[in-house]
Amino acid sequence: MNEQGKPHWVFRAHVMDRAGALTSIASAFSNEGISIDTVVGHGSEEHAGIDGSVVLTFSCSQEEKDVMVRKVKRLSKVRALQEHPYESQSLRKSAIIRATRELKPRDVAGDETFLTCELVGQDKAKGWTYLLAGSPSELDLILDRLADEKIVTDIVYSIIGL
Amino acid sequence: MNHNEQIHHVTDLVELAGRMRASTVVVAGGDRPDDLRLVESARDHGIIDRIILIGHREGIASAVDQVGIDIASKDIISAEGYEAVADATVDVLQSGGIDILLKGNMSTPILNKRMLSLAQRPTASLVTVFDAAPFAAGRIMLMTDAGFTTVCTPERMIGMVHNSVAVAQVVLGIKKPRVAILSANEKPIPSLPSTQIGLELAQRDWPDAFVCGPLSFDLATDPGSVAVKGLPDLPNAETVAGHADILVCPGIDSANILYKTLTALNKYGQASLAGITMGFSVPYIIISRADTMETRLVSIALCSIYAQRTRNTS
Repeated sequence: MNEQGKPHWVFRAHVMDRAGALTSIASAFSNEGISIDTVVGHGSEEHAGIDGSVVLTFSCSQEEKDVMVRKVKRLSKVRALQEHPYESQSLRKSAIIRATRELKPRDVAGDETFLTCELVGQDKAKGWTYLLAGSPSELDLILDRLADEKIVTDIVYSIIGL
Repeated sequence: MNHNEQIHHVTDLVELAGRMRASTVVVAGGDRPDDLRLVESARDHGIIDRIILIGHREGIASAVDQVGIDIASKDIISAEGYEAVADATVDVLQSGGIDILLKGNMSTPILNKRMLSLAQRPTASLVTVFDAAPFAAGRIMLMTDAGFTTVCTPERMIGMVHNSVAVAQVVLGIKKPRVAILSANEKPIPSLPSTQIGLELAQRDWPDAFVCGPLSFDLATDPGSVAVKGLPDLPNAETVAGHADILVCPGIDSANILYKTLTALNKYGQASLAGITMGFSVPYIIISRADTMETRLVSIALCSIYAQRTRNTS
């Protein structure tokens, strides 16, 4: 749920002409008055005329989401569309973060699982750099907690996928 | 997408228009925030690059402030009252350099009456371009006239066919469109005058179109219905039946019902539509209060493509 209590959704659209598809998808959302929270384009999948995918997150009611599913599926440059609640366990989100100290296992413990956590760099000036991955809802909670505890100084990169 | 590429869906018009030369739009009664949001969105998409607002100066200034849109002061033309706005609009159009007219906060009958002085075709009519998942396998089509021609005499319907054919040719690149004159039956019946008008129109010589009528909606759009019911014994039936590009409704009442059905499907996410009023020196957009933002934006794109392509060929 977002701040207005509306559910959070993830679309993954398999598209041709990724730039053109992004424009038409963004226009469709704008016309319905729905803001896209994040959008990421993924690389080429060389089959069936598909040249990549676009993953985007947004918040709206279930009815509004269903309208968007129908509208986006009808766009010329969209070949297929998958939709998920943001909380879906089939989604994965990863983030590269900078931390003020070395992370302990309890730092990356979720309610039910531990996040994937790999140290990717250590620098005297910048501190510790980690790659974290997990379900989006779990990763978001842990990132919020690490930020509250002032352990995270920067989220360099964050991406959602399947 | 290049200019010769096939347009599969009405929403493709937005991207196509954005890649073409940008248009200048004049808004008659330009003091409504929703209209300003629309033209700003069209400017964001690269469809238009100049916006001229005509109307009550303080009202326009308030709407401009509310929306936060950037309009050059020379592009705000002050006029008080519908009559004055209509007169000023016609003056601006006559001075040239305008590609599209958008009716804003303005009396439609007053503006239409003034616009008649700018008529360039024998008939003015509303042409709607649409695609709808339940109809004709989602194929892009045109229909007319859901909002402009109140009394459909055979002479006016001839003009409506010509206007629709021009849009199909210029915007969709269909060289010789298939036109269905709709009615409720395929046989001319004296008690159903639209069937007789349909046949009368189909029997005329149409060098730029295949015209067939009278045809029911299903026989015009659905090859499956043609297979079940059989090919009607009408001119051009073998070309048009089941495959019509243009649907000419027998009157504004039936056309308006079809249009509003498309609007409901659009809100459900299963159709897209856009309108262009033909017959004047520039394409003219009369937006219904029930139209969605998508329909309004695509209508501007449709008019811009028509304006730029006819400018390039003239």
